[in-house]
Amino acid sequence: MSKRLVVTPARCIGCRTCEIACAFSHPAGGGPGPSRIRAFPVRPPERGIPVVCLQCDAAACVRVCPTDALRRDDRTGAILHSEEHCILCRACVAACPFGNVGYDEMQRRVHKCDLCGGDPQCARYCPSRALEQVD
Amino acid sequence: MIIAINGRNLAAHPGESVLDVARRGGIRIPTLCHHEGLETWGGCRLCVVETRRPGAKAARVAPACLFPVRDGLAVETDTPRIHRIRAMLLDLLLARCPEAERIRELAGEYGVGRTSFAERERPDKCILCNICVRACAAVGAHAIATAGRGAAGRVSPAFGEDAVDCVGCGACALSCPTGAIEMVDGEALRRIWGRTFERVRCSACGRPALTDAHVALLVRRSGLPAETFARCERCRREQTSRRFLDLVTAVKP
Repeated sequence: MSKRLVVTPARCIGCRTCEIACAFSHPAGGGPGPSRIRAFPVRPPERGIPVVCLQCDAAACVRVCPTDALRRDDRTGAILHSEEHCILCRACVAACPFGNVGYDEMQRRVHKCDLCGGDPQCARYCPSRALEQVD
Repeated sequence: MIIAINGRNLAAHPGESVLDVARRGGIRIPTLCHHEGLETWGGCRLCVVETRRPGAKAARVAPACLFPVRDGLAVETDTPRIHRIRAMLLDLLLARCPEAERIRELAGEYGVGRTSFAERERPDKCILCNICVRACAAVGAHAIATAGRGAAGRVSPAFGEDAVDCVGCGACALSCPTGAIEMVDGEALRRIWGRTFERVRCSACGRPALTDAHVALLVRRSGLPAETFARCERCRREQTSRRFLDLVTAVKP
């Protein structure tokens, strides 16, 4: 793991471009999928707090998964969710203390940040460098 | 080690099954009961292939999901013999579950448009793949199992009674490939396997979330504090943002 996704909430302007970038890079059912990142607006002044998976070391989602559907990708450091291994018990959704694992009821799919395979699109499109890919 | 599937040499590792190697190599073998996250069961037999060990005179028919690889193994996945066996299995499944789309599609692929057997009188969509049973065991509830034989085979709670060990997590219904398990979600209640469960409301937004019994099981199995499960994931996320906001305002940029 050579790079990290660094979040600097103080720089966030609450534009939520990250959410759009995420939704379009993770399509579901023929359209943009549910965003894995969320920028909570704070005002005034116009600001936001981006919340995205922290890829915890001793992650609760990994601990509660009964089928090893959540595993760390050593290359990117991301905890990846495997749909093939998932039995949809949603224990990970319930266990994440930060609320960063979601469940898409329409698509019957668990979703979480996968760091876009090492090139997080939220960071790429963030206009204020609140989200950065840092070496 | 190297094994040959349909004449193609593929690298294999000890402990792998023929199905593992085939899938990695992009060779399609149909399966119904196979699930990557669950213990291999070998129940549907749809993944049968012809295997020939080095030096063997004749090929053997074996399920690819359970057949361990060994060096020099030769596998054929789509011979006329295999095609015939799969067509027979699908013919039988079609008699059992004429309404299950997955079975209809697969049967069509194998040239079975209509079953040659008598359809069940009151068919359901359960193809006895056992994924729900294994998912339930993985969750830790062990509330359902297969029961009965032949055409009377079914998935059922113990003694056909209401599922006493069920926690109402819904993993069985959601992981069922044919949608055979009925789960009814109401505002405050969830009904499944003859049981009715109370859904715990998120302490922040009031939206109904997990069942009370599922929360109890998660607390017991994960060792995480019960408070973790009091809020829904959306409200927990918002709570995270407020914690971050406090940090940001505490340390002025």
